[in-house]
Amino acid sequence: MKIKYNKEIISGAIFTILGLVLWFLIPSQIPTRETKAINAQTMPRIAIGGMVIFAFCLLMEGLFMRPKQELVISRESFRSAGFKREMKSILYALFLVVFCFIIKPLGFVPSVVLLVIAILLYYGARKWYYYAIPLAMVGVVYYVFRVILHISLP
Amino acid sequence: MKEFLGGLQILAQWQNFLIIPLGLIIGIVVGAIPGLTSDLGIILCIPLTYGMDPTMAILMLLAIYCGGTYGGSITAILINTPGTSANAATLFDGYPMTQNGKAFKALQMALFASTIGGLISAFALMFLAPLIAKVTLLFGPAEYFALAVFGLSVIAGVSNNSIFKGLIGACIGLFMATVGIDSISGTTRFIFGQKKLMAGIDLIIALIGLFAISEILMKSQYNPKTDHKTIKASEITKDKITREEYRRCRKPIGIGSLIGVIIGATPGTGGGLAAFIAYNQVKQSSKHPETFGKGEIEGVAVSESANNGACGATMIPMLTLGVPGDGATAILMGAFMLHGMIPGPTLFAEQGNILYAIMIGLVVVNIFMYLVGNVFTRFYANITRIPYEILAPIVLTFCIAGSYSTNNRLYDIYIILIFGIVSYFLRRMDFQLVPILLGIVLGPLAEKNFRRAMVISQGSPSIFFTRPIACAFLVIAFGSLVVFGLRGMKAKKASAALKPDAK
Amino acid sequence: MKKIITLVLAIVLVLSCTALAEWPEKDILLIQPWSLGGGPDVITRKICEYSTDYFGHTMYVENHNGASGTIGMNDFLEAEDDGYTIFCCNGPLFSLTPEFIPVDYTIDDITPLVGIRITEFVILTKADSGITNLEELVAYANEGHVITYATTGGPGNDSYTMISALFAMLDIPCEAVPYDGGQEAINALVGGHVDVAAGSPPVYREYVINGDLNCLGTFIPEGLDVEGIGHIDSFKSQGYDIEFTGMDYLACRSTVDPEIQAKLREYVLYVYSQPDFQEFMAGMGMAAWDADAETILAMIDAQTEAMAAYIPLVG
Repeated sequence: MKIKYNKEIISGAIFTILGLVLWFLIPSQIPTRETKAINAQTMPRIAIGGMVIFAFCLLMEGLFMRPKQELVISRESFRSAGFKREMKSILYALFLVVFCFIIKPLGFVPSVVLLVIAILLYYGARKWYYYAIPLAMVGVVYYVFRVILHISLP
Repeated sequence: MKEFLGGLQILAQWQNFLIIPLGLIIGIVVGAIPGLTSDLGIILCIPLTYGMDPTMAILMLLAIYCGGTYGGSITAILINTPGTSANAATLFDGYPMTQNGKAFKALQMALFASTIGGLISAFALMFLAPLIAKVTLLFGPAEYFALAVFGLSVIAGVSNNSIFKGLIGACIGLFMATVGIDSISGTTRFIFGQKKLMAGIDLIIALIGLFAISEILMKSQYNPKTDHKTIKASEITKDKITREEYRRCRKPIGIGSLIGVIIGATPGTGGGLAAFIAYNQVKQSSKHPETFGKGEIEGVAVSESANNGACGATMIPMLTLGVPGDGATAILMGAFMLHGMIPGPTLFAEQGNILYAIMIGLVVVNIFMYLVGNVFTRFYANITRIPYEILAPIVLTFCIAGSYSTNNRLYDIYIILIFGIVSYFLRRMDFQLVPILLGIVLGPLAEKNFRRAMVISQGSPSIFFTRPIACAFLVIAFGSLVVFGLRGMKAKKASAALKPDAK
Repeated sequence: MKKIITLVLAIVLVLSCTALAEWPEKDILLIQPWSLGGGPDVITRKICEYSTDYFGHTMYVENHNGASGTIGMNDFLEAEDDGYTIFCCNGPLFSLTPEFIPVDYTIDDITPLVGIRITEFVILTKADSGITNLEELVAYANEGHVITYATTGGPGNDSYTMISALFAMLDIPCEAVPYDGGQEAINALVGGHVDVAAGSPPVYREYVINGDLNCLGTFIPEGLDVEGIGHIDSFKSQGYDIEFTGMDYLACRSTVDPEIQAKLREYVLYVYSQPDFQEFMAGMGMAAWDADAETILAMIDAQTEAMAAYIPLVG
């Protein structure tokens, strides 16, 4: 399969669709009792409407005015260096998503420690003090916030 | 004059000269940690000031405020993450300078420009406060709306290659700013049934997500084995600002400080907006606008002089009218009240001596800032030497703790992480993040005042054109868009003309 | 067997008593649903100042602001009912907010500990408009002017509701211009951007003393005596059946041990008796309000009833 694309097409398409979805959500998400022409829905309509219009323009620009890259999707492409790099970034983002789910049950220190170790492993850090320094910082942050500044971390 | 001398007398206690550097150090450290802002620094230190006399207490908090606004530039320059929203404009040229190996130079210029901006601002506060306060009162909803539109027109100047991407970014920001309870009608907007979202998305939370988290993700493809460069400590500090560069930065610093004072004195705006507007002005009037955004020292100079130029000026409406100029001054206003000084029209008459002591103290704060900052600059410049795999988890830890402590909400941690992932995607798609930030900052200002103005004018848009100040802002905004468009076309033609030669 | 049970019970009783006698054993958190630097925030921070000397533990303020105070209220009700979390509460959170925002708390979830302050709303006009009372305002409106009035917040806000209800009673053409907070509203009036504004001390006092603004009246039924201004008539005495007394008070969850409640109340009253605290409050143009739980609950009841009549007028 062959796909021709560029960044303008991808982002333009995404924001056109996202904008349209949000546009149709306005009446249900913004219940207003106001009767004036300018009300709580006005600004969201300007922002979302603008998003749709400009995203569509961007899509057109991408389709007709900008050079495109060609991507041939085959078995090979899943083994390419570029694909691996993308997967690495997604893995990194996944750490953050997982973190969101564990911070509430585990609390600040354990969840942040896990996150820190995950990142260091991700970068392939080998030396012990590479682990010691950030982990010590977690302890310091916790101590400073909790004990000195009276900010109760989760 | 009598009050001025009285103020000097109050100020001239040795304790004050100890507390100012202490406040500055706290401010610089807090400002330079992504996720912690000078606002938080001030809140946390208010209890420490309970036992002090009012002058000393306020001076300490002011030192934190000024130090924090300068300190935020350190991370903006070194790790592409503004410490506070006021430093977002410093990113444009600060981080490219670091990438070019000129981190120390950028830090020094940031400090120098911050000091000059701060001093000009302090003098404006001392001599022009009552006058500026009168002008501020003339600002009604129509004027604030026009000012916000003027601020949004900066987007054209900062969305380098694609105007559509800049505009989409602004729309995203404007949309984000509407989430939560609408303060004019009391209705909820886009909370998707989540009660916690009713409070809306805090500016600083958005900022951490947009810049800090996305920057960490941008480095996800960094390879410690091949990408890490070891720079010797001596090499970092060798590269000093030349006399020629100081001379070149005179004008940008002047413009920055002036715009900083004007915007800072307008309630509800603050240093961030001042820095963007000033940056845009200098870039537009520069003979070499193409070097901006690629490590131009003038860019650092103008943004830092503007945000510190706003520091003293935000105090003008606070002290004279009791309206805080930005978030930090709102907290400072609380501190004034805690120490028995009620900001407002009579403060100058009732507590003139103490006020003058504080205003002269602000000058001293800025001078000390240069001295303290100089020590810190040498120290901080070495951050660039820390391997990124260690720096990333540390920054992340601070961001998580800092975002939680802003409102004591777990929700905010989710928001910074989601924002971070989304803005990582946007950056990969070559979007600029600054238009989003401008949308978030200016959206509420524009919306509230637009709706207020329309109520006052009973639905007639003529209010924006019959009021001279409002009209002037709109004309300048429109004018700068036209100028920018023409320049863009010219540049395109020029590059088109150049291309055949290059071949 | 019985002896053992009695003994165990006695020990438990003694232990729990000593435990209570030593309360507090850790720092106390005061959740502040309003933003930093505002009136209630500043006062509660001042109240906390004395805690280290009194309890040996710190009482500290956290701002959980947003959504008309309901965010803070929800966080407060989620905390343990051990008395280590208290809340800066007001009347409208029960009498008004539930009409505008879906909430799942009721007045039975909390017990007021002690009052903080009474806030009185005053309605003001610019001196150069020449309007000094409601009759003149009505006359001015009947000349064909649409009155614009600045409020300290949007619908769901107390000043918005009260001033809108009053104008509905006056039956004149008018438009509300919601601002963020009292100072902004007053400045909009001083700057001449609106015709009328609602104010509460200390923001308006100096302007009235200097002759920049006129007071049309207050919602406090018995009127108001302000230093330097003199007596401000109530709207009731001007013949309009409308009244409102704003109040802030400290509260804890209703399930907190009564002895702990008493200790907390005792502490706050101790703070109120301190001369420098009184001086501080006087500087803010108000006095500490040491009302007890019954008084406060009765006032909230009355307010809820009154609001039920005003809200349809505004709607």
